[in-house]
Amino acid sequence: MDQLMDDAAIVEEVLSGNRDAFRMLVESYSGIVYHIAYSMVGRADGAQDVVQEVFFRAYKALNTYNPERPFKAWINRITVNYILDQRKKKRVKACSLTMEDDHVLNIPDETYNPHDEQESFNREELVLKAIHQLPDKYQMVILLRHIEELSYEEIAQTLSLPLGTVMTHIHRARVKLSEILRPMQSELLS
Amino acid sequence: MIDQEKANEWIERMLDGEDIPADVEQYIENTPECLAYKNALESVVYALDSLSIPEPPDDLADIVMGYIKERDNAQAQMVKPRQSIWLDIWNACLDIVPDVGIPIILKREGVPAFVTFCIVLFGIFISPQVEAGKDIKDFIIVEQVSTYAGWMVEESDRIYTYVDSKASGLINRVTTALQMKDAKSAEISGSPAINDINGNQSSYSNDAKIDNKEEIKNSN
Repeated sequence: MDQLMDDAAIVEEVLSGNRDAFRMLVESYSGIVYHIAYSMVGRADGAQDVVQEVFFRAYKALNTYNPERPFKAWINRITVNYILDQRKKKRVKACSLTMEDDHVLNIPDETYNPHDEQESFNREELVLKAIHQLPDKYQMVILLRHIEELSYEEIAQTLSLPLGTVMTHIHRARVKLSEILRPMQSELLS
Repeated sequence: MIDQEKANEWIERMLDGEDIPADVEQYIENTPECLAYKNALESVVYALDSLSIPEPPDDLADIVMGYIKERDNAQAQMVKPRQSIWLDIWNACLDIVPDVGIPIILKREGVPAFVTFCIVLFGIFISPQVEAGKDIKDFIIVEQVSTYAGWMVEESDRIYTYVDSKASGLINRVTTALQMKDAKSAEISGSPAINDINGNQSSYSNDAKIDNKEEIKNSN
C-alpha cells in the first residue's frame, strides 16, 4: 500500500513537470521489466532495447496511469503488450518478405526441436526456447509466474484477465511444456 | 477414489506450494497415472523455478533516462504543421489593429466576417501611419478605420436597397405577365376564375363564403 502511494506521488510529481522524478520509477522497476524482456527476447541487448522503449512509452502515457492500481502491474502490462506487438510485426514481416526493419526487435518466434540441441545441451537455454514455443498467452502467464514470481492475482491484474483464466493458462502451459520437454525430463531434474 | 481431474487439480495446488490433505497426497503417490502426471509437471516447475535470468546492467537507469530525454527532445523539435496563410494574415492584422472594438462593433451590426476583415484591412493599409512604421496605435487610425467602415456599411446598404427594388420590380412584372396569361386562357375557356399569385381562385372562394353565410341566416 505504501509502495502504491509512493508511486502515485512520484507520478504526480512527474506530471507536474519534474521530469527527473521519473528516474525513481525507472530505478524501482527497470529490473523487473528487464527480466521479462530477457526471458522473452533471449538476448541482453534486445532486453535493454525493450526496457528503454517500455519506459519511454510509460513516460509519454503517464497521464493515463490510474494511481489506484499498482505501478508494477501497469509497467508489466506495457512490457507484455510491447513485446507481443513486436512479435506480431515480425510475423507480418516474415509473411510479407519485405526488407529488414531496424525498429522491429529480434524477438524469437522460431519453431524449436529439443532433439537438435542435445549436443550443446544447456538447460536454461532449452527451457527458454521451450517457453518460446508456447502460444503468447501461455508464455506470458508462465514467465510472470515463474520468472517474476507474481501471484495469480497479480498476474490477473497485469494481464487484465479473470483469475480462473490465469489458473487455466498456467496449468495448460505447464502441461504443454512437460510435453515439449519430456525427452529431457531426466536432465531437467538433475 | 478421487476423480482424475480432481486429482490433477490437487497436483497443481501441490506444485504451487499449497498444503493438501494427507489422504489425497497418499492417493496421488499410490496411483501410477497421478504419479506420472505429478512427476512430469514437477520437473517442469523445477526447471522454470531454477531459471536464472541475468541481472540488468548497473547503469540501466541512466541508459533509460538518457533515451527518454533524447526521444522527448527529438519529438519536441519536430516541425509544427504550417497553419493557413490567411490565419497568419488575420493574426498579423489583429496585432496591428489599434483597437479590437471596431471588428466587434461591425460584427454586432451583423456585418459578415469577411466584410469586416476587408474593412479592417482596408483601413490599415490606407493609413500612412502604418506604412511609415510609426505609432500604429495612434488615434487617427481608429478614426480612419471607423470612417471607412461606416462608409462601407452605408455603401452596402445602398447596394442592398438598389438590388431589392430591382428584384421587386422584376417579380411584379413576372406576376402581372402570368395573370394576364391566365386571364386570356380563362376568356377562351369561358371560366370567370382569376388566379392570384399562388394560383388560388380567390373570387370563387369569397363568393362561396358569402353564399354560406346567407344560407346560415336563412336556416336560422
